[in-house]
Amino acid sequence: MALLTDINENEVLKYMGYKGGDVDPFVEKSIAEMKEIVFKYADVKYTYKVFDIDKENQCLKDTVFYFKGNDIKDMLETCDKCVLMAATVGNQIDSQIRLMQVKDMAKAVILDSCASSAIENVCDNVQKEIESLEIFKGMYSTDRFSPGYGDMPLECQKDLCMVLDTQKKAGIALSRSGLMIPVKSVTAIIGFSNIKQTKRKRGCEYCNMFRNCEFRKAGITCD
Amino acid sequence: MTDINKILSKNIVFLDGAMGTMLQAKGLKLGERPEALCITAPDEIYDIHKMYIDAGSNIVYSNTFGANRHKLEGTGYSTEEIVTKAVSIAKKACEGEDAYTALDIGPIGELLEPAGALTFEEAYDIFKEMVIAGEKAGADIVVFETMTDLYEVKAGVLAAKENTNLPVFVTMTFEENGRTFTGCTVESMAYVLEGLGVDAMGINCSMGPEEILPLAQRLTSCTNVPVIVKANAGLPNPVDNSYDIDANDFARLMVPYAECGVKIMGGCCGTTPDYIKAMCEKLKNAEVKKVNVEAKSVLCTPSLVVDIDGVRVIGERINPTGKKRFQQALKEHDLEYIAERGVEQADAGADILDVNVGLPGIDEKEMMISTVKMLQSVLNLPLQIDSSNAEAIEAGLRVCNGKAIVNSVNGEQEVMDKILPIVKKYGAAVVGLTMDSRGIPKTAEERFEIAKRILENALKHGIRKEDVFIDCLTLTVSAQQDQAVETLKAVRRVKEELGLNTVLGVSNISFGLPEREFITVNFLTQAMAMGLTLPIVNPNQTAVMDAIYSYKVLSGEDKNSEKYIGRFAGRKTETVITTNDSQCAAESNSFGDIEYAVSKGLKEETRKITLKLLEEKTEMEIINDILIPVLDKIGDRYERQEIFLPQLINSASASCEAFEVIKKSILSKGSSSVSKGKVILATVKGDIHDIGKNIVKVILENYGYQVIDLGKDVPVEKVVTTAIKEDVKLVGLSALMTTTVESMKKTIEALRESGHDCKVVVGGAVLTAEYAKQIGADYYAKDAKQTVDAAKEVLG
Repeated sequence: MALLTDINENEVLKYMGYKGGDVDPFVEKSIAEMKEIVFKYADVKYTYKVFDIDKENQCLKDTVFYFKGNDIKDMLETCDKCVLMAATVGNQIDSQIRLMQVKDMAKAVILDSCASSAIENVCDNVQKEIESLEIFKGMYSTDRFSPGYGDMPLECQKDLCMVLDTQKKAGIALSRSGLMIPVKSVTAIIGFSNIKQTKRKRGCEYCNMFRNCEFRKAGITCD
Repeated sequence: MTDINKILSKNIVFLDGAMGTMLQAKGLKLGERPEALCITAPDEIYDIHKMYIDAGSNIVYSNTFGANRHKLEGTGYSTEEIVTKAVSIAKKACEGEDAYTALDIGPIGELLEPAGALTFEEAYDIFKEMVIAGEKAGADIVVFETMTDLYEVKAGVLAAKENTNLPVFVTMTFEENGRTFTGCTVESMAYVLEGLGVDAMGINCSMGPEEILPLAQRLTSCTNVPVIVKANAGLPNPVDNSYDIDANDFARLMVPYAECGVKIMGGCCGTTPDYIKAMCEKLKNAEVKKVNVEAKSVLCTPSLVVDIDGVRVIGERINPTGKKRFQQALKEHDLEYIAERGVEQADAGADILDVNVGLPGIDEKEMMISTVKMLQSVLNLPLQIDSSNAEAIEAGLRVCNGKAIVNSVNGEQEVMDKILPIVKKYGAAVVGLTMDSRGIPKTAEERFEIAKRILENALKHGIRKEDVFIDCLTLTVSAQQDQAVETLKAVRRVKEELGLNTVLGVSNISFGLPEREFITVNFLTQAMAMGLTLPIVNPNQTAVMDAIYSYKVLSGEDKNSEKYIGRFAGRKTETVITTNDSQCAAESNSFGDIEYAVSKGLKEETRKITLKLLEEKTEMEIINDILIPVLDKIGDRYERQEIFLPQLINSASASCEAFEVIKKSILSKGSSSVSKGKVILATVKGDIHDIGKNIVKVILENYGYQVIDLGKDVPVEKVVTTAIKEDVKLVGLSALMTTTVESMKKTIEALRESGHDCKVVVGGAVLTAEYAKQIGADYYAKDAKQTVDAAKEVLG
């Protein structure tokens, strides 16, 4: 069972527009408090399915999910198998964010960021579970790629959710405009290949220099 | 019309198994809409129905699970087309057999408010289209299945009951923790659906028969309505898409269901005609056990059941009577102020919230709908719909998500005849006031007689005794001293002789006396001892809640005094802090101190300093000479990135306290407003992520602007009509997604076309200054601070 195991505080600060310098004690304290709320109310649900890739039609075999845009095609170029996944920290978190907006708007912003960080952590854990499946032994995974990334249109979200039946399997539905509900949800595609895959950088928030980095303060990265 | 009693007269009613599983085996691609096959491959659908009937199914579900207009969008088929065809195929398969056709209805596919953007009324409409087509095509039953949102179910059940004569079955899908994805419990489903008068209810999908069994046992023990179970063929395997239980095991695992009282059985995902056949054979002679259901007084939301088996507090603060600030909120449609009053009471320990929004000059029905929706979007407490207006009561009950109380009816026949049918229709509980056309009787004896009459009338309308609560009426002891004792006597008799729960508006007792709290608490304590279970009080009064916690220890409800001890642990420290706080505030009254308090986000201190400042300065002086310069300074620090978003908002929230104090001070002098001008804020149609807009609202309000918050997913017309009606000169629009910037553009176009003279400021994650210009906005604000700059320019 993949679960929520950690909320990265640097990532939380990043979501709130933190650029470095002192963090107010109120913010420090509130992050701890809001993290606790997320851990208490997170109701993690996820679902995934393994598919063969239909190279000829550029789609997942026996489904209506077609690869749109070049980025996804590039990512899956050497892959034979592919996993669609969807995960959410659930409906209660949305409710808590709404409630906190009435109680204390500043904390609501912090809670919202903590929840965003939480769903990333859940996705990491789900990915680990998928990578450890027997059928992927000896294979290499790609990054997680989501509709809306790169040149893959957000509209693909609808097909992905239908193929995975996310509403029935994880309680994730789409609004008319393509927004996932619960809001703190992620869908993604992970490819599996016999060839080692190049991975993206994990991002500044996983660096020890995060809070004091001069590059970040200037709005650039060391990359 | 379907004779539901005939169908249910069978020992066990067998349903069919999966449709989707069968279609996938025949080559349906994942993600394809199976409903279209009714048109393109009707024979295949017919064959599947026929196979289930041959296997022993008494009811087959039409292939219409996703045949609603939302899910069919883009398929080229209409709901009526698919439903008509699908029902006729199923009916044909039933011809000459002992089998019935159910119109199958699954979730709409889009989540309802408050989580999603679909309104309750739109959901009703979508279901209405399906059920009307289904009945016309000859369906015998309407079945809602695989539902996870009780609110969506309520919209569906009302649509079916108000537009057809068909029996209604409902099954919802639960996870192992006994809750649906939206948090609904088995018990809440039972109480709400029994109240709405469904013909059968139960559980389907998600898990296999082993995992569902304990949930089914919980369900049969809390409802007298026939129970349905349609389990999956075990649990799914994500790698090869298979299920882990075979037909024989499935049949064997269904046997215990008869023993726990389940009368209607079938299969869900992964089951085939073989499973149904095995189940029918195994269970054909089984006896369905009758389970005893305890008659209880309960209220609920989808995720919280409140048992009235002891004292439960009804919070009285959502009520404009005698409260100028609340009246102003109603006039300005300031739902957030009302929500704050709800949250406050919930935090103080209220179990139920009374909702009274009646005020001359406002549309009470509309206000009731908005208030109920607002409260249930942030709180998880049952509501008491408080009004004398039958229309407002019905409107409130209709949109209320859960089982509510109606406050109130009285002994007048005309009132009971009008209100009780509404209470019955929506499955609510009701408060009966012991008075009638002659007024409030002087003696306990006469009040008791009226209580009896109200109970008899309620029973006649089919309302359960457990859902009738009697209010023996609190009269002001300073005016009618002999009446307090009569009220207490009446409470005791109603409790002991009629066995009903009782309600009292407690606070009224002490009106006109000094140190009211002593009288209120003393009366409350005596009343609880007489059997009062539902006091309507102000839970923010510490002494009142202390008395209730104490009573629960003495009555034995608070086992081992745990809650009492929990309440008072640390009480002393709190007192010390308050003293320090007030000392500190008393010493400080200068500009410098308020700047410190606001910049550090110290709300209580800001409030106290403002009170002090009001002794020397006028309201406008405080706003213009003190608060705004302080906020500007903080805003500058934010722009220079010395502080970041949470700190900016925190300061704004603290100065909000100062504004509340100032508003109240102005209201008490009889003037109306401190507004520096009105601003409309709206998250545009299709977009529901509104946290950014709410941040802007807090900041604008703290600069003294009156924000008309239209909320999220706001239709174009609503922005335009409000701007014109309220003569608003600045409209702020937010959109989070590329897909919704289009609605933003449409809203701006409509504003321009209307000819109304106003400026538009836009913001949101995907916008840029250039993009904003392109869609015709006057200002682009990258954050809340820049929205204030725009407001200053437009409104001053």
